[in-house]
Amino acid sequence: MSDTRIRTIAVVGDGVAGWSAAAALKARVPGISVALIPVAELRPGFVDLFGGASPSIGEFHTDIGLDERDVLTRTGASIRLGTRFLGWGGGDYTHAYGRAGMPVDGVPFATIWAGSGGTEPFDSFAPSAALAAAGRFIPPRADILGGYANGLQLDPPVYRRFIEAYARHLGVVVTASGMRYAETNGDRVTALHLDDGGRLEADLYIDATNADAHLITQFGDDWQDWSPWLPCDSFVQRRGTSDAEPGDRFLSPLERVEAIDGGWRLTSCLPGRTDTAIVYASGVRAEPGDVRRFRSGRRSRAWIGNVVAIGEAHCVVEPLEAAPLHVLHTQIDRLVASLPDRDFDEVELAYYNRETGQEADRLRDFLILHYATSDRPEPFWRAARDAALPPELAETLTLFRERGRLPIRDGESFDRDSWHAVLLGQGILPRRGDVLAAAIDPKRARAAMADFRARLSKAVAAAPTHGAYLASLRTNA
Amino acid sequence: MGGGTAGWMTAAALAAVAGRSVAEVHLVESEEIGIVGVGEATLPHIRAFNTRLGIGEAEFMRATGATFKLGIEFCDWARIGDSYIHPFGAFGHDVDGVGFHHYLSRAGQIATLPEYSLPVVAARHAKFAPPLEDPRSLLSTFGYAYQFDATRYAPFLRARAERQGVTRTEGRVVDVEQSATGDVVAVVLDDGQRITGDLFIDCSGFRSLLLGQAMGEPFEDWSHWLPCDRAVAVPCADAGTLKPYTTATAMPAGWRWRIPLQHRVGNGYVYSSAHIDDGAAQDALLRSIESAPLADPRMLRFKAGRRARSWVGNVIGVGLAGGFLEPLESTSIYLIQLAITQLLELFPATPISPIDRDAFNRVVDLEYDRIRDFLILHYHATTRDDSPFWDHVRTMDVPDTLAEKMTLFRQRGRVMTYREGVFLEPSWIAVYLGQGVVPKGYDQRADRPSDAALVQALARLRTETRDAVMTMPDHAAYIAQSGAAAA
Repeated sequence: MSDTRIRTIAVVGDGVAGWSAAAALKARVPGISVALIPVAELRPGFVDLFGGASPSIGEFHTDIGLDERDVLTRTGASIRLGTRFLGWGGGDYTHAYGRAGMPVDGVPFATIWAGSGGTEPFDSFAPSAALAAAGRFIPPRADILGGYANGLQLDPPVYRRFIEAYARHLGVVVTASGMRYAETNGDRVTALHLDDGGRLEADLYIDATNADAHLITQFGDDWQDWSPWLPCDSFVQRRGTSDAEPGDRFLSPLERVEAIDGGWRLTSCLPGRTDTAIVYASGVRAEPGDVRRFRSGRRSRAWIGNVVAIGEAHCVVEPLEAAPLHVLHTQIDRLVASLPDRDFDEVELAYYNRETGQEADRLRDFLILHYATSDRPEPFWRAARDAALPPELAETLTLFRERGRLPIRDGESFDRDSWHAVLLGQGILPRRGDVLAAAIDPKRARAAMADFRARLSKAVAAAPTHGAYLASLRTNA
Repeated sequence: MGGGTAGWMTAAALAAVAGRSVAEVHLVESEEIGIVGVGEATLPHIRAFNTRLGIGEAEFMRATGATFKLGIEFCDWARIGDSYIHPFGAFGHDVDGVGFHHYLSRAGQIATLPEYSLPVVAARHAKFAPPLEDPRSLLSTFGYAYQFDATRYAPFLRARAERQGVTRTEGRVVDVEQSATGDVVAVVLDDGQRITGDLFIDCSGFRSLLLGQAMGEPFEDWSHWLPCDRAVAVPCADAGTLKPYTTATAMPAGWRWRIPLQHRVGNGYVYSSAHIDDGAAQDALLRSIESAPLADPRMLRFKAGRRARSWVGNVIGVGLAGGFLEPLESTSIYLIQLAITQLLELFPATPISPIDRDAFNRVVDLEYDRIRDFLILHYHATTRDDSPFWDHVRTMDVPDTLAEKMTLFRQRGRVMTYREGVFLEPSWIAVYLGQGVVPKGYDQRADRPSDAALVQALARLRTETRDAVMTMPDHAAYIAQSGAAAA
């Protein structure tokens, strides 16, 4: 049997997406050589500009051999436990990662909470949200401070340099000059032509050129437009100046997202610095400054022939819920685990495309959820609320509104805990109670809830502050 | 409606979990109508069901003459003379996130996969002990189920359910009253009694009295993929060591089960009536059993498939009333349990919301479709060409969903994974390989260890697995020492 294994991979694009993919392939697939080819004037992706990362970044780092404590200390990053939402719907609320509360007699907490009338905020029962509210952090334990995982808040340019250095250390080779154009034949790229006249061939080509998608668009542009549900198309960023006294001031492990007419305002805290951004619909509001445009959506196929589009070359999502880095990392993980051989069997590619597409669509639905359940009065928000939803999301919302049930589908990035946090946070309560919850004595349920909150607040008070936790990593390094 | 395994499992669960504050449960059954339950082989999920109902293992096993089950042995499926076990447990363990079977493929030793499954090795040695909780121990790497006498399980559950408030009425349904919208209002019994209800659960077996007959829900026929439509069953005495597994042996026109219980062995021949007549099937069964029959052979007729929807109006079909898949992978009781779990989660209010119904049907459909594909795989992936039956199943078109799954495995040993569905990756791997679907390639990440290191690590794991099994007691001895032996 001749050896048809993939031996050489060319990654096009030198942003966070390209370097992350190159590092992961080199670290995780033995016996391959990986070349990274820069692109002149690469259009930055959200991952190059926004540093919010969900817990999937922890797995990404572990899988490629990076210790999170090193990442934190070397890149000046901080811990991210979720998002604080202001002015979206219901009252303000936190979507923090991980579970909330405790089941009573096998009935899930969200059901108990909804049945109790929800007098205390749902997020006040979530260990990670309680830590975040207090500006504290401790890695999850087996006791009440557990059941969560943390993401990271990165400083994108610093992180890009860090992941580049790590990729080079692993043996990723970067070409001296950038890509001029790709030579194609049918649905294959046959070679890359470089600015210095060089020509580079590989078994597999990764398109990491963000929304420009230089390689995959060679084979057509079948774009699925998500703007009917995710209406924002522009953003401006304002980088904060360094704090005068970084010290041990309150450092929030949450990004803050405030709904405003025509979009939302993002506030992200790094040690010693606070950045803001406004993500909005250009048809509704205008912002001064360096405005960048984007369009939400995805390509039907991420993998065509010997080209795989990753990150924004396949799927563009706004930086809500730290979605862009999450998409990138799940795609890289799937790519590494799905490498076919040089025959590029159609069934394998079709499976990859279906799974990738499904995952993107489920994440899309989770983001739409935030818009579809807002109660803001402005026409922009009303239109978003009235839009006909994708069928899966419509079904989920109906089931939840009707009876508090959440189907979790294949390809879902966010689990029930996250859906509950957002739905209940935005004030969506099931119309009808649950039969099993009804069988529980309300007095007992209330007592269990009060006891849980008391134990939680005691445990939170004993946890180190976020700043102190980060400082302890530097001391122990 | 109906007091077989499905009926009493449903009634007992409703009574135990939901309780009288939620609903009054009324069960109607007729002693004239026998139940289908022969020896029942189950999946590990049955343990969660018993636990939820507060049923102790030893008590349950004593009452039903149950034995422990580590998997199913398949004989003569890919070719005559073959034997493989589909175990309740994994093969080896993932290394660096890469499935164990990829490393074996790389080492050119894929045929030795069963030697890395603790439940397979234990089954081959007729050993059993429950799994340990320490995840580092090889003795934690499996699950188990039971083989039990289903004719005793229903009465066992009945006694509990009646204690917990379920009303039982003896009688045969002679008429079904329906409202203008088609919902069932009441059933009328042969003695004239009229029983009303908000929700009717049809556990009437193949007759599908309410769902199929009254509601007229069409039957989706899958017999072109699963042509077996009859079974003949007969018990006999166990002539050997008490085995902790069920055996399914391929026959010229179907397959034959052997389910060892404490007090007898259940045997049956599941066959396609288009390929063998009833007399010949019965003869073949009687010739193949290990000792003299303990009763007259019983005949069953069925058809593979399911009602288009399991829940229509205010009627839910549970068990055979909702659909039938042959017991090749012991899914009958699992499917009952799935319906009960969904019903409890989606317990409706009156009037019944279509949302609850749709959600219920979506889950049940998906599960049926996936089990269907898994069953078809056993027939289709074969080299047998010794009878018209095997020629048919070997050459038939299979569902696209299965064709895709098989290609993915054949290419690179990839198993399509999903969130909802009873059979997980190890089950698919066991059956693919057992049926001779061997991957051409493997996950490239399995190239990491050196040849020498890989061969050495494999040899060590094989030895450790065998050594761990040798510390386990014999199956029969464990039943006796755990207090599960029937008097």
